[in-house]
Amino acid sequence: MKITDVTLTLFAWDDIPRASYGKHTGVFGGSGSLGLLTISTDEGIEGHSFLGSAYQPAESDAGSLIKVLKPILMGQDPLDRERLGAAMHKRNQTLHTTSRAVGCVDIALWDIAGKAAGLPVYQLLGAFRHKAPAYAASPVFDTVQEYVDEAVSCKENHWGAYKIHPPMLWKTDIEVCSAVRRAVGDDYTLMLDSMYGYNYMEALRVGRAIEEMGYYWYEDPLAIQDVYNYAKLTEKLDIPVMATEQAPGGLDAYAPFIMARATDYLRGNVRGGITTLVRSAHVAEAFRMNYEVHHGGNSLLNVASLHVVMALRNCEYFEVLLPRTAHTWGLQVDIEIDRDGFVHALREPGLGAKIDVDLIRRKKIAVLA
Amino acid sequence: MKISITNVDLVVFTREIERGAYSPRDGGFGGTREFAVLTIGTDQGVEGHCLIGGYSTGGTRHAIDSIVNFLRRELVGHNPLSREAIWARMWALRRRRSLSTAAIAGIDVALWDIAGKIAGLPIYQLIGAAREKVKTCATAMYWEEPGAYPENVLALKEGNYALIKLFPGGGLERDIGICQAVRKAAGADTKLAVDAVFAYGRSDALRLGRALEELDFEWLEDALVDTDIEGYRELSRALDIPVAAGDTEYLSLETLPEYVLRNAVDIVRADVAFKGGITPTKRMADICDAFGLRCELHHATNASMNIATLHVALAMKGDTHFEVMHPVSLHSYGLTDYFKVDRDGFVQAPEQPGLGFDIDWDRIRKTQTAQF
Repeated sequence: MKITDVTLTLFAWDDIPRASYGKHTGVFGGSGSLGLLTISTDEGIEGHSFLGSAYQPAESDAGSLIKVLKPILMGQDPLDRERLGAAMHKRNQTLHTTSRAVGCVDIALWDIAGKAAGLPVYQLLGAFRHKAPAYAASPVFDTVQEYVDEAVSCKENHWGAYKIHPPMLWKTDIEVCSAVRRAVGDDYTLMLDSMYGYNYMEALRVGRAIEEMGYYWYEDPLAIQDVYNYAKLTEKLDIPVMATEQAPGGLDAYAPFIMARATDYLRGNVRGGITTLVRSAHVAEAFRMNYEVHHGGNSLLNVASLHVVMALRNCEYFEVLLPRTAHTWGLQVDIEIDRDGFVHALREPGLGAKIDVDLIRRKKIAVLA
Repeated sequence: MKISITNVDLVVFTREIERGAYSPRDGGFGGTREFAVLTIGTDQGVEGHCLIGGYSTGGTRHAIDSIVNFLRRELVGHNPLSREAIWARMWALRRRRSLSTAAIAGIDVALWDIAGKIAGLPIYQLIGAAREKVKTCATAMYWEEPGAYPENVLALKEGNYALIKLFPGGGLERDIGICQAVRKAAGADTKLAVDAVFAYGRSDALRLGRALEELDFEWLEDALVDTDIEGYRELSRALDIPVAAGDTEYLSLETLPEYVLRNAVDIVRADVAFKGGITPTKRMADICDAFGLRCELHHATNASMNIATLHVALAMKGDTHFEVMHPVSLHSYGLTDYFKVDRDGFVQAPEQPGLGFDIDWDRIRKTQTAQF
């Protein structure tokens, strides 16, 4: 099999709901764009992936994907995922492209492999389970009440757990966590994701407070690369600390955290590709660490995450970021959460998602080739 | 895909092994040995196979007992594509029930064989191909007569192997003498390595390492007993020549983190038989990748396991040799065909789905002793 074409169809997204996930996204909403990556082969099999998100237009990475990565892929066997991946990662390391672009290609190659094999990606990986519990992750709200209302609503709608993205002022954040805990009761699973926002002392105070409240994990309290203080914090706290979701540098990012005992759990994002995600999860597993998979940022990447989550023993949950309408554009049918709060494996070959081809055609901005 | 395992069968057979040794201290090998063919069958008709048993290692009956009395029931009725769930379960039972690692490895390989056949792809392409051919390392025997080594290495050089590995036997003066003579005979451009088969204590291992550095050898393997993680740490920190370890079950996916956390080795040895399957071997390669360590795949006790190790080598991001023990007839038994080392010292990727090689039923049935 040979790759015969690589195209990126940019399509508009006009009704993105207004929301924020903190300083790193700002307040977004309104118009944006996604990109449909299509890798075509001489056997008629096509692999797909989506580029971009509600707060990161596809144009950011589209240029280097076509200019830098496409030449690496043309005429090559799409099943040479490791070899092609190594070549693409080299260009990422020298900053000629981004890990998002490389990841987008990797996912489309897995889609091709699954279709060639007649198997859904999770079975290609080797299934661990066919369903997994989902948790809802909040946006950043302006008031404590909004968090309370959403948490209670999630609990009533059978979500397995609720994760808070707090306002990022440490005292207010403790207030939010406390109010939510009171509202949902002691038995409901809650997590806090503090999005790289605290200094060490703030992180320690918040950590101690949410430990008392029985929170399940404490995510990204410190700056992304702050291995030094993460080591201190992780040692002090009982609650599991989870860093490394951004993993700049891909698989290489984890060794310093592991060696320094700087985090209890590892994390990663399918945006960097299925291959790197699965490998780093396996590294975590060998070191007796959970590896919780970050949401994918767009509807098709979330499907890719779903496949990986079904193949991992050491990932407990599937993450769903609210509001859902900020992540459900471009597919005919989105991932369903059942009445018990579980998501189920997709059974069709490859990624197994039905892309909304009509929508993409209607909203087409440009085709990069 | 909805598919179910219907049967897990074993055919036990004997074969005559020619005598040989890798070390003067472990009694050598040879004579009549028992092997088995594991077959996992499914309701879709597709079957996976793997040979169980090693020409120089024991445990065939242990493997049979583990499969018949414990592991079979973990498989029948289950989806063979749920490899992650199955492997996790088998490994969790392993020590508690004193189960055979070779049995777990055989089952994992047979499941990958099934997956490859369903997908219509050779296993290495299922994992994700990194290369279409792999360079080789030729490993010869232990010889009692030191003079035999240079002659043996010169004969091996004809095969264009990327590396030639020696079993000098242990004993500082003898080993250094052998390595000097081999280097002289083979010339400066031949890549050489030593496998010390756990013969040394810490100070002599250091002396040997220094001598090998002078002789420009590629690596020193299994110098100390494999459980001496602290000793390996000292040795690898002191020497420039890469220090390799792991040719037994002890350095596994489970214990590798201990070696990593203590910076104990430069090269990790892994193979499908001793580590419990393709599934853990690939993970060990990934861990090495994450920490910038080298992973050198090890010869794996029988023909199926070697082919399975070949698939991992073709899918590994890191550069590895594919180890070819000599004589090849020791480990090629049981398949109708086998890999060949080409004129440039490479082994090409298998082309057929799954493992890509078939069990030699005609030959095996002739010496069959039992069936389970």
